[in-house]
Amino acid sequence: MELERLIAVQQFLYREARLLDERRFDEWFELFTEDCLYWMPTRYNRLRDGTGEQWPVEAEVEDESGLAYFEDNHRMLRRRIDRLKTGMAWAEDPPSRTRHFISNVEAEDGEAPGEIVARSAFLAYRSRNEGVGEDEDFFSGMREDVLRGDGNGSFQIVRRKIVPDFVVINAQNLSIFF
Amino acid sequence: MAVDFAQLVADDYTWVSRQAFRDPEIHAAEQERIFKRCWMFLGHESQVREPGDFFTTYMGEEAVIVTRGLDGALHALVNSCRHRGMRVCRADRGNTKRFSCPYHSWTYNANGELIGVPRRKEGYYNEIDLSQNGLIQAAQVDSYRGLIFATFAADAPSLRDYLGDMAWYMDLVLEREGGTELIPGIHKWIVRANWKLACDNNAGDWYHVAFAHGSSAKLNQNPNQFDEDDNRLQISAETGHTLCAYQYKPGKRWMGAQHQPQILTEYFQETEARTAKLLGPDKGRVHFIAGNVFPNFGWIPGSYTIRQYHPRGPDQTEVWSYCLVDAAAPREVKDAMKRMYTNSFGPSGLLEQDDGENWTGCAASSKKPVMGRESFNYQMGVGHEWNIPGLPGQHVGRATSEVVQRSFYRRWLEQMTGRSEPVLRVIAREG
Ligand code: FES
Ligand SMILES: [Fe+2]
Repeated sequence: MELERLIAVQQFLYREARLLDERRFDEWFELFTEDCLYWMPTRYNRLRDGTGEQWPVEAEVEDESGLAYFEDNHRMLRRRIDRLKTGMAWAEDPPSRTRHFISNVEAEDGEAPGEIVARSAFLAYRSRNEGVGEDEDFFSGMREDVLRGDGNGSFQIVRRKIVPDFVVINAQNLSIFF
Repeated sequence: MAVDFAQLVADDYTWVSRQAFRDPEIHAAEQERIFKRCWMFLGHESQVREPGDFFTTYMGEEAVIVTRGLDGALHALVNSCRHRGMRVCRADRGNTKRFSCPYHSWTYNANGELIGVPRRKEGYYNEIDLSQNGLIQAAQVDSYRGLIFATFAADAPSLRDYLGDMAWYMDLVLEREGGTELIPGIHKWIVRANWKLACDNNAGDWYHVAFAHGSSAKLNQNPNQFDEDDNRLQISAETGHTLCAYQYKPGKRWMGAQHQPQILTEYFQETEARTAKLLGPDKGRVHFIAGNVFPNFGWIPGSYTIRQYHPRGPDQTEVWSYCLVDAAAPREVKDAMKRMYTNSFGPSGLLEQDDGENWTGCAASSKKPVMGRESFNYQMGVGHEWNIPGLPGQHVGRATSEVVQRSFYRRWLEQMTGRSEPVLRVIAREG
């Protein structure tokens, strides 16, 4: 049944990515629980300590007390989406053309009963305006999601931790979701 | 052909040629005349508390390491080996006794002194003088209420003199029981626009807020949130340091931003009496909304952020944005400030997003065959600047005025020409 679960998780993540790329943000928002955390901590270049350690990624990612690119609860996620409807969200008007490529999906039991931890890699492409030169961006990273059954055979996201592969964002903003 | 800088800026500073925003020659001259001459913001003392603590940053385009030396003093060391120039420190922060170059292993201590050269006898016949080959250091390093600055100019005025009247306004944010500190981590992103476009905005461009950031007022269902208001002022000094500020009626003071979480409202209520005592009645009435310490040190204290706009060639700026909070505040208050900052002026912030979009578009115009010959317009409110007794800074305009940009470009021109340029005129005296 592991395989079934993995496929269900994969399909959930693919569909979620499609909702973003099709700009169906209200439907995307429904995929998050009310107690959700949408978190993308910052990362930094860390000094080698010379002990032959295994270079743990967590050691170069800020914890909860440090700066994050996103640190959204349900309400803040809602605000981000509502902003797009104000007619004055210039960074997304005209909207970005995005494609979220999701891969390297793994699923395992979470800490709480019924919860699943899903890990996935992403490559997000953004094309804006004429789509040349400064109007093209790539974002790469991994995500660790805590999923809960939604009661209808699918899932909801309780917690998404996004670990970026960049230290300096090679783009003028993060106006899209990951 | 040498650039005639005086031709780039109007006599009354009401326009600036777009050439200044694209020309590699002007950009190279800025490195010499601005970024090697001015006091540059480097970071906060909370980043280097213990001997051997360090972080890396830039002074203009020069990479530097800021260390708390073994002697406890602050050092700003150019992050480049004296042998063949390799970067000796490639971590963003940490604690170390030495910086060892990855190329041929010349080794420096946290004070920047060269303490080791391999094969000193076999290769150099003991003829190399270690004392002459330490890391290049800034000529002066100093801090102001926790903020660390440095300059490459030995003959620069003291930091306190350099800041001049601006220090009075910086105190509004920095003068707290227990001082201030940075939240760990730095937001860093690239805007494809000349650094001056970012700075002349952060200088106090109240004009754009209601329009560029109109989405926030709409979200808050507060259409008047960013309106013009008689108490909202632009303040600038001859130094080119500028800000947009709010002056409350006597006895009233800033109690945090509108639409802030309850925990922050409570925090400001609880600390009001102590802060009022520290600042005194005159200072206490003024709220620092946004501003810029010349050349590229931006402030948006109402959203708990300070930032450096590092130049990256004439076409790009690397924004390094920090979250500055009261050091003595409880953890939950700091967290709330951090989220307010991130949600508004972090790179994903609901306000910040639109600034990058605008500056990139403005910068692109400066390279076009028709618009590249035109200038940027900074005429708003010229001739309507006044003084307010008791407020430092010589020129005050309504919030919707471009006096701050005129002040910024006056100072820019002064740096570039090396001459003393005419001061802004104060014609009307009101208020
Ligand atoms: S470049 Fe640093 S030791 Fe040679
Ligand atoms: Fe802005």
